[in-house]
Amino acid sequence: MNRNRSAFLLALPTLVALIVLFIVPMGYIFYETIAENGWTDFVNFFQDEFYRGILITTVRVSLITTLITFLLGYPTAYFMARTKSKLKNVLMIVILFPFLVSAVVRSYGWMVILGKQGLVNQFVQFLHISEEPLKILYTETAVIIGMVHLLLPYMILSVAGVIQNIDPNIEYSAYSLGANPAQTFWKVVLPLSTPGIFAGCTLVFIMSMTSYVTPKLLGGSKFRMMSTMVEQEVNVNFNWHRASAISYILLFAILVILFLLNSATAGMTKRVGGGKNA
Amino acid sequence: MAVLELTNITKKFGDFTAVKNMNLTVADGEMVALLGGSGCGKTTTLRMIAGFTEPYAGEVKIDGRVMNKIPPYKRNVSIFFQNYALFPHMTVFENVAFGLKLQKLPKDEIRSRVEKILTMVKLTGLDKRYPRELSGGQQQRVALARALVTRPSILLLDEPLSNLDAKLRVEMQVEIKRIQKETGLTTIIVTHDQEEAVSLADRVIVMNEGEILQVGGPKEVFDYPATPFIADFMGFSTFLHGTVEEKGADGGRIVCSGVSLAVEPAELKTLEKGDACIAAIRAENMEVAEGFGQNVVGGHIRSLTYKGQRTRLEVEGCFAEDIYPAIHDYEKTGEDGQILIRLPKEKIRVYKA
Repeated sequence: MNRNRSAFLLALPTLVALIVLFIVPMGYIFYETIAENGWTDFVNFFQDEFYRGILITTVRVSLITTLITFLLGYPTAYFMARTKSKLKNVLMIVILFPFLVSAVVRSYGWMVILGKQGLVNQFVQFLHISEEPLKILYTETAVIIGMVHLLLPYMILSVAGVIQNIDPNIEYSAYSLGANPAQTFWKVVLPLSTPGIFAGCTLVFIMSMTSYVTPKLLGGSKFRMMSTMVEQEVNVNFNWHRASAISYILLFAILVILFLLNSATAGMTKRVGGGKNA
Repeated sequence: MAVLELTNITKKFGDFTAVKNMNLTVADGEMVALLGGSGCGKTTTLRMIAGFTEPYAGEVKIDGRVMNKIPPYKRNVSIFFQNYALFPHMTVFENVAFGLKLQKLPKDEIRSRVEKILTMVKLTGLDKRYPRELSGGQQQRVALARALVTRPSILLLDEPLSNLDAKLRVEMQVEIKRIQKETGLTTIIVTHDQEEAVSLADRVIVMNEGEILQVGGPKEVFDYPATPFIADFMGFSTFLHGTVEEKGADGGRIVCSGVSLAVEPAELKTLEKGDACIAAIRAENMEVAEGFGQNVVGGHIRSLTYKGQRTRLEVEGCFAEDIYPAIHDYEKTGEDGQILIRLPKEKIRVYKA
């Protein structure tokens, strides 16, 4: 009990900072919005097809981004966790390197690559695949490409951490009992890595839902996601109440989807004991 | 049930040769232990038999069929790991049924075979538990059941007793032996623990640096190690340098640090009078003597460690080397730490130096 109390003291500074600087202001914004306009901003949001569309786009882009980062990240993570080669350290640096460059710079990088005169289009025209330059930049595709690039490390590191903790002998046992590599993967490795997949997907999904720089720069003026919309309401339309309503709708959308994701994986996460296999 | 043959197998990791040109035949139903320290190549050998790694050269044959290129999941070789390696997300039943489900057996047969094997390892009624809800001993039984239920042709045991406390060790040792005899499975044990090897195996293979040093029955390897190195590994505590003094049909003598010791004539077979030699004796085989006599030496106790049934002494002054007897029910005898120790003639091994 004494120990619990000292542990609590260690968390106290962060807790106080979060409450004072985050929870209280958020509550205040919510209160202000409701106090002045009631639920009208919320109701209007859902009645307006334009705004509904933005929410749907945001969720769609985030889910696709999460799925792609998972599909790309899982094999990489598995390799990272299991290889004994020196390539591991190189790969680690390559994976972490994008963290050293800000999202803004990276988005500009993608603009150079995906633009009308960009590398991709030069290549496409060089091969005569298409005479017209492909329109990639300022589309949803560009945003997804940028976000996958930005968020892939989070997926890889979350999953690799968990796979690293799966005893390789468990896989060997499966082989010796007659499971081929595919069966071993589906029946043993994948279920045991659920906690890592859950952590990775949660991180990537939240960061996609709330990302601002990438959709702003790679999506262009006609592509809108919830966070760019918040900015637009504040800076262009000067409608602070709608901005805060959108923020809250975004927050609840995230919570609802995470709740669903959590219920879907809870059984397995519990069975494997949060990734601790002994 | 199968014959295992390893012919000239070699395994290299870069410049390092883990197993050198090893040859071994294990008969159907035999229980063999590969014994050696870490890095001796025993685990690499096990992995080659299981198919987790391929030999660099040589052949692994099961019932005459070359297995080198056969993946582990087609070999029908079961492995039991030191840390059990149970599937943590499956119940006991699911763990044991895993291999049977892959064989696409009918549900009824799976159920009856799992139940049968769980009875055999004395785990009835625990089939709905998860591994982490079981004790170490129970987890070990699940791992054993899981390895046995698929009716493998060869069973591999990786340090099967070393994770257990003393009481469970004895229990599992009996159990493994019983199950092995009951099933008649060709079994390979890998261990660094000489006690584990001699207590379980029909035949012990002592390895070092990727090579086989000695092959023999447990008693033979335990009592008659082929070299001082093996003797050291098998728990011989005291090593004395000396020379052969006398070699006769009915008796032999060696001199160590000026002390003449009688030894069995058989020990001097490969030695001649005047040859330098090393005598070795096990700690438990030395005893306290009441008075001077054959092979009795006097010394001074430098330290003693109480170890329960036995007391381990460090005695100096008998020879140039210290001797390390472990005395049963030791009670202080001499004054000022003086003690007389007998090195029984039949317990002394003599090696060429």
